[in-house]
Amino acid sequence: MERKKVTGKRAISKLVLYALHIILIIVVFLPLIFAFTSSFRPLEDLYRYVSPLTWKTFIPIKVTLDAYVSIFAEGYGTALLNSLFIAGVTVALGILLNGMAGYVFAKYNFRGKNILFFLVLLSYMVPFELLSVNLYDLIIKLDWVDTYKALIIPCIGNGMIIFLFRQYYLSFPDYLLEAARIDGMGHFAIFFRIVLPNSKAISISAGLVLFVNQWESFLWPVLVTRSKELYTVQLALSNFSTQYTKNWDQIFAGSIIAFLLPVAIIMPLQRFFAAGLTSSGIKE
Amino acid sequence: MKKRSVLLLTMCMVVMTAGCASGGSDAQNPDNSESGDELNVLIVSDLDPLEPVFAEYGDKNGITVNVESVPYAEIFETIEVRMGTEEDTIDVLVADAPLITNYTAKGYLAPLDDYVAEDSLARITESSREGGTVDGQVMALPLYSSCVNLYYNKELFDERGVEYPDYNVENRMTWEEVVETAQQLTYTDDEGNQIYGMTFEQIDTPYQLLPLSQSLGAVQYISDDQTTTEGYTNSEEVVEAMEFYGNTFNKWNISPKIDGSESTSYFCSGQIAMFVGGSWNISSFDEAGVNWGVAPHPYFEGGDAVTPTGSWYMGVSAYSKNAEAAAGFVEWLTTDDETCQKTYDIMQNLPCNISVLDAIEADPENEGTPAALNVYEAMNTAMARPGMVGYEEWQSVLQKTYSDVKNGADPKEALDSAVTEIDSLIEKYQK
Amino acid sequence: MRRKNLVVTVFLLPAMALIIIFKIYPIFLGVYESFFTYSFVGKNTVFAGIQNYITVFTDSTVLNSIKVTLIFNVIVNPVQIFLSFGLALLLMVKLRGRKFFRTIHMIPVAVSFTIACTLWGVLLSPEQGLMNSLLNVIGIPNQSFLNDKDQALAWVIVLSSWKGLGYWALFFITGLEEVPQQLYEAASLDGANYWKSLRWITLPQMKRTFKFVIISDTISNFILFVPAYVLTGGGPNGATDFLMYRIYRTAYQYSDMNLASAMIVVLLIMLGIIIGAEAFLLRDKE
Repeated sequence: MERKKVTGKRAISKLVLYALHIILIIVVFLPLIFAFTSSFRPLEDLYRYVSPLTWKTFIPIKVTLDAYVSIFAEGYGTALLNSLFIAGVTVALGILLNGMAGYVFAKYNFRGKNILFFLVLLSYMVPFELLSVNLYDLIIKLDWVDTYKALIIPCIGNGMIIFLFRQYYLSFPDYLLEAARIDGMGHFAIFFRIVLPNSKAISISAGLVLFVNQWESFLWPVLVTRSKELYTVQLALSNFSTQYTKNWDQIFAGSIIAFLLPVAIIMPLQRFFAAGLTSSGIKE
Repeated sequence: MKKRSVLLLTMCMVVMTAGCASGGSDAQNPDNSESGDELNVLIVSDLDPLEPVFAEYGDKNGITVNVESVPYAEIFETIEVRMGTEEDTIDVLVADAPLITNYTAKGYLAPLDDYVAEDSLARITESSREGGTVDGQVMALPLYSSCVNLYYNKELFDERGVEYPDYNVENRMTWEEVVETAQQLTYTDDEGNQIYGMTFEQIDTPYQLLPLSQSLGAVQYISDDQTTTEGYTNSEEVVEAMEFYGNTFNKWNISPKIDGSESTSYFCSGQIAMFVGGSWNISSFDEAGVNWGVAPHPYFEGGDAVTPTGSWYMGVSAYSKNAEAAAGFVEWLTTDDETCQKTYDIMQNLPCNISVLDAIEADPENEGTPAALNVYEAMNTAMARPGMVGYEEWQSVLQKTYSDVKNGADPKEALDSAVTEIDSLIEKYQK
Repeated sequence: MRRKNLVVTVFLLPAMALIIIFKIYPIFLGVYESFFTYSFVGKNTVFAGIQNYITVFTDSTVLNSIKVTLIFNVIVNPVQIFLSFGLALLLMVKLRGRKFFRTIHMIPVAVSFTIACTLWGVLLSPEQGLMNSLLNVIGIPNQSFLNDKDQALAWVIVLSSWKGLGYWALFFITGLEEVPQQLYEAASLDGANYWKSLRWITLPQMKRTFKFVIISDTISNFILFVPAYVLTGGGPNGATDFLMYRIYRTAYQYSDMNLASAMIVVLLIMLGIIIGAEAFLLRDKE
């Protein structure tokens, strides 16, 4: 009797949770649905069926892939590959270098630590767009204009990522490090063989931040690139608008690809989230 | 242990170097080139179709013309940052007509008087030449101009049994007539779609809305000494024009409260009967299969017929090490009869070159088209935006004000506060 | 000891060098520039003392921007932190399809802010936006949304939360996954229910994650300007004229880098005080 009551309660709470999920999914998709269906519509149909609300609002009547074909004809593919490369290198180096710094901030004491950490926080209080002028001057002096270097290197060091790793490593069990030290492992070996392999989930979060930062940046690439070969996704997207017109079908199609691609990359990484320190059973 | 860290650092270096090597773009980097016979041209990507024309100049003169094109959304920031650092890697740059005065004040542009022949200047229209002249010096030359007409959707007119607007400039519609006609054309169709009588194309922009106050007699928007807009930008005429603009949305409800970027799509999908906009939209209309007609830009009853004008100009960077060659290129590109004809053939925008304008007018095929109408307007009704040092400040504050009035703010109050804001923003130019 | 110093140097050097060269150095150049002004008459840059700072604190439009930024942050930060933690808890519940749900919430993270704003702009179009069509169905007349000075800021909060919730929830999830399972098992043996475990186990264990999310969220909302840049232009009537957007315009549109620099310094000081307070309240007591 008692048991039945509990399962009944559980079923109800499960129902509530699923309902909540469905509402959230609707909220997530609400702004996207119009772009998605519109990207398959011919230009003249874009706004025709928005109001009043009918099934035609959500399902294109005349389906066309014109928008997708035309953006790739205009070099959107190159822009995607460029952005993937830039973001990929930034993520790889960013996780490693910022992770090392975060680890030191969490686990070592040294002179000047507080000042340096203050600089870390300061560095992410000003957005990249506003550093552009002085930074651009620097890039000219370094003669990095129109190279991948200019797009990648200034974006690797990231205060937020260092802060993220520091917060994580603060809770990293000291006894594990101690045990490794007793086993005769050096500082470097401990970091690369013990600490880093146990930082998968946090590294993915960090990688995502770095990836998104690069994926989103729009003013910086314009300033430091010259040739179309270095076009990035956001640049290609803003190229679908001219002074007078916005090619909405192209903008929608380009946007859909621009966010589905990162999601497709993130999806398989999900499993690492459940496989943090806890499941390896080494947490204190 | 030390070895490992060295290895790591080397690895980083390798990845970084690999990153830039694989760019393969160093070869195209103008900085690395030894030859002096190069011109670096910064354009907005709207002008990309003109690249063959640019290249032709290079072929003819044995010069390499490197074109860098930046999307419209980022062009102004790009010019600010790159000219602000006084770099010499730009020889020729585009400038939006009303910004020429500002760029001159900031020292971005080199005067062209010493390089450009009188004959060449005589080949373009006077109003377009004046648009590039600051304090008597030619600072930039026009690539082409622009004009605005009244486009209408014939099907919607037929459906409501309303007579089409007349193409003849003698029978130019007044704004009062436009409102009356638009009210008949604002309705809900059988499928429940809301149809609107009219819209401006570039909603909220001074480019399109200045002719309203100019038609009422406003001529000046800032004092002669460029210190204050008080009494000018909020003059009686401007307030009255602003009231008209607000009424189209809030009193007569003949215009949809949309954004400038949506207006063309609305007209293309048959939701707007009259579209006050530029001829650059025609290809979109045709693509969407709109059965459209064209009529002259309206004016206020008892006022003057005034149309917007001005588009991209080309100037020579003050920091260019190759100013003479750059000026030669600009001269050829903007004034040479043959080049201007080619530019017109590609872009189909209203030319500034007199011989091309004459050719359009003379061509019987152009009768009844926007092209012929625009030639007339360019010669008779075009009125440039005010050239002022603080144009960017003025335009951005005014644009916000238009938008606020569209959303129901009181025109007089909105303009008064706009004037105060503009005046404080342009104070810096007196220092 | 020497080995330790070497470790500190080698681990810290690459990241710190990059940060100092590409972030801190430009910031300090900006601080320096904030004491100068460009003279259009003399065509040169001259020392201006604290003139730019006086402008910042006397110009009514700048003061309005500061006010808008503060109001926005007082509302948006608690809302985002509370909701994203709630979302993280929801996504931790073992349900069939959990991976799918988690993936869904990664979509807004991957949509760039510029695109997100464009799409929300289309959704909230006062004339024929989908949102108005939906509202019409339940009998609410057309709304102006971002064009209404009383609603605009609220909608900016909504759309930036749409974009931000999945992002911040991700960090909470990472933190929640690290809370030792044994603690919950022990607590449930003691008869603690879900909410009691949340209060007495989860929250204390999540303190460091909270500190990270609260500080990072505050920073990112303080320097947010894309919604104003893409959608509202700071309007209507200055209702969404964030300080950062005014700085952006002052620098690139009104070409006054020096005044913009002074505004950045003021913003940094305000931000510094606020996150300093947050860090103090959430400090590790050990």
